[in-house]
Amino acid sequence: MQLDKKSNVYNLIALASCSLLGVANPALAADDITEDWKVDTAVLYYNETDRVSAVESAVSISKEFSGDKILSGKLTIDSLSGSSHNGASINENAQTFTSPSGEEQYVVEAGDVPLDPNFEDDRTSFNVQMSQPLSRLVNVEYGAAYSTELDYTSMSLNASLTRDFNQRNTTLSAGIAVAQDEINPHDGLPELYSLMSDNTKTSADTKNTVDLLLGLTQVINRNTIMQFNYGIGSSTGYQNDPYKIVSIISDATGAPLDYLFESRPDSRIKHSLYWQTKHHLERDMVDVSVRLMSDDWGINSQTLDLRYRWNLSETQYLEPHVRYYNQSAADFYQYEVSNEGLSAVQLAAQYQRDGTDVSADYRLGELNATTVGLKWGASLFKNHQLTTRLELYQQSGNSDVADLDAMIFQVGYGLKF
Amino acid sequence: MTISKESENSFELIPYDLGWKCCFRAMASPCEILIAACSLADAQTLATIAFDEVKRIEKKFSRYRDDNIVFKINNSHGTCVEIDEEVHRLLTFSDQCYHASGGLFDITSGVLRQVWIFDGSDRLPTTAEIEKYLPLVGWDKVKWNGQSIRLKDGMELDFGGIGKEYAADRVLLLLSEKKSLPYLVNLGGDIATNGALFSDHEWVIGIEAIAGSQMSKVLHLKDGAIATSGDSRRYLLCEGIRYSHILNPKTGWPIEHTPHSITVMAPSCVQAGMLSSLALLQGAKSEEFLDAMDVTFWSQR
Repeated sequence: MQLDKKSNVYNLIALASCSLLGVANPALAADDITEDWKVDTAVLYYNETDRVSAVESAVSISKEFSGDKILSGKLTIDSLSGSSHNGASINENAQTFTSPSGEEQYVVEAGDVPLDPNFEDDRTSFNVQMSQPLSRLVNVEYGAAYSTELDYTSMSLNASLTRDFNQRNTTLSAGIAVAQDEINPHDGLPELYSLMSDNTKTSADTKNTVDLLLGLTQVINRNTIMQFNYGIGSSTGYQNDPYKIVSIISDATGAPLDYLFESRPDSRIKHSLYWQTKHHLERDMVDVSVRLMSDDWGINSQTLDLRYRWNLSETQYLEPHVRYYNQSAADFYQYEVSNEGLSAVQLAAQYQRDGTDVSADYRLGELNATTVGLKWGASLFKNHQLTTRLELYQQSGNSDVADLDAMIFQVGYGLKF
Repeated sequence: MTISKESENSFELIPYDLGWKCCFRAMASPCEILIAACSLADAQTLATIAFDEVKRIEKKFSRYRDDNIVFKINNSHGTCVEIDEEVHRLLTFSDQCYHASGGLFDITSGVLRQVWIFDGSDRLPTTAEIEKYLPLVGWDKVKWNGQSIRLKDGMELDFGGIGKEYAADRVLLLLSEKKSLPYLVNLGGDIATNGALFSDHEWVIGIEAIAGSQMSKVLHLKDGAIATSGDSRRYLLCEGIRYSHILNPKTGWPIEHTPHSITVMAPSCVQAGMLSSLALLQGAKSEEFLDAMDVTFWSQR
């Protein structure tokens, strides 16, 4: 009780000092009035026109301990359902598909995008993160994450080290993350190069990923801060989407003969470069970022992201957001494959013999996507913050199967105590 | 190389291995501004800004002058005196500290100095003398708002408890706004700095031990401020009891068992100064008071 009263005196003096100096300078006192606990909750609704819809709920909690140690954790639960493109191409004939379990069949009308109507998944993920200073200028952060879906589990560990230089105007960081994923559909994985009509399954498989990240944060002047990141990631093991197939089209008739389960390379190396600048105007803030990504699958992508935080008052802001994304196709991406005069079984055997990779997943094809959104944030009363966000997403690619419109709506509520 | 002579009316700018030192006297103390390496022209501009600001604050808030707002307020005989925005900010700060300290920090308590003369002698005032002045003490008796202030006739304001610290923070603020460099502002031991000269550099600040004490202390400061409050030279000694110049505005008597001095580290100099003043007002519990706040401090008893 006595302690609380005294730290309250400390906070009162700190605040009084700030207003005396006519500055709301966080360097002068804000550090000393931080609240220990922080809880953020958010519910997100995602809806693709005629395809998948998802609801995601997230709770994150962080607690600051003495010595600038911060422990945080986040729990996310998603539930997805709807229709998902199965990989097959649009055909002028009606197409009949067998669901991955092999038990159900569905028919796609002529000229329609082949969508599997039985798409359904629930995902729960959890992570714990700890951040603490090692010395006056060095900070270490480490954590672990776990996520599970019906057919997928992922475990990862991460650690990073940051060090301040140049009167804390420069921060260098280096980080590593390792992950192991296990893919284990209820009915097993489709045998590599098997046909949909075979329905031959194998047991679960795994994927291992290592990511390294180097970062530089530089204070340019009182109003501008810049960040550069370089990342390299390597993953090996099972990279396929076990539910995606590729249409084998007859040269003679143009009709699908059968469908081959996709086969991607069993390793992938990605390089990414990221540059972000935040510039404070007199009242508002501009946030621009560019991300360039390139991998050895032949995918090169560019992301341009622009946000303008328009501070309407001390307690409210509006943040318009525009994002543009562009990617080139993977070398092995094909919308559909031709039978080259062979039967589907012979073609599959030839692919297997040659180790040919092929995928018709539109996410590996050429893509252009634009997101336009608006976020509104308001402090309802001291230490309580309400945010809502509405975003519209529009995507196009090599073919009609990649055309997608989606809407994202999120409501978040955060408090500190 | 000496640019100009040190005096009350000008400053001296001296180059040293890490930049420039600007020295002058103000507020009855030696003042020193350390400026990180920059051109002579820049150093002169910056030193002028610092010197002018300290002198401006001294002139405006000193109670030893008869041409400023403090004199006007203290000689208003119960009438309303118009105030500017800066005076209002200082009054607001004093008001917040008055309330935060439960009335122990009070800028109207200076009037008690008319009976308490802290000259190291054994002359104590009589209870009657003290009681004559007590009705003139009490911030809660002052009427004030954003435009004006009215004191009861005979009451006085004294910004002496915050002036030097306020000046140190103001100078640092003005310098940082003019040119983004590391600075250290030292106004007679009240120190404010905005950052080190280079990576891993720390300002090393020695604290003078009081007479007769073997203790001395070196503080390391990366950024932020330190301020010292104490009674090392101002006290009365009567029948073996040492009476500090820290007066309790509620009783009119000195606070007992105060440390000789307390030095506190805080993000700003006004904050450090107020914490050390409030700590002294706790008497025997000064250290306990600061311990509970988890601040870095050093006390000499």
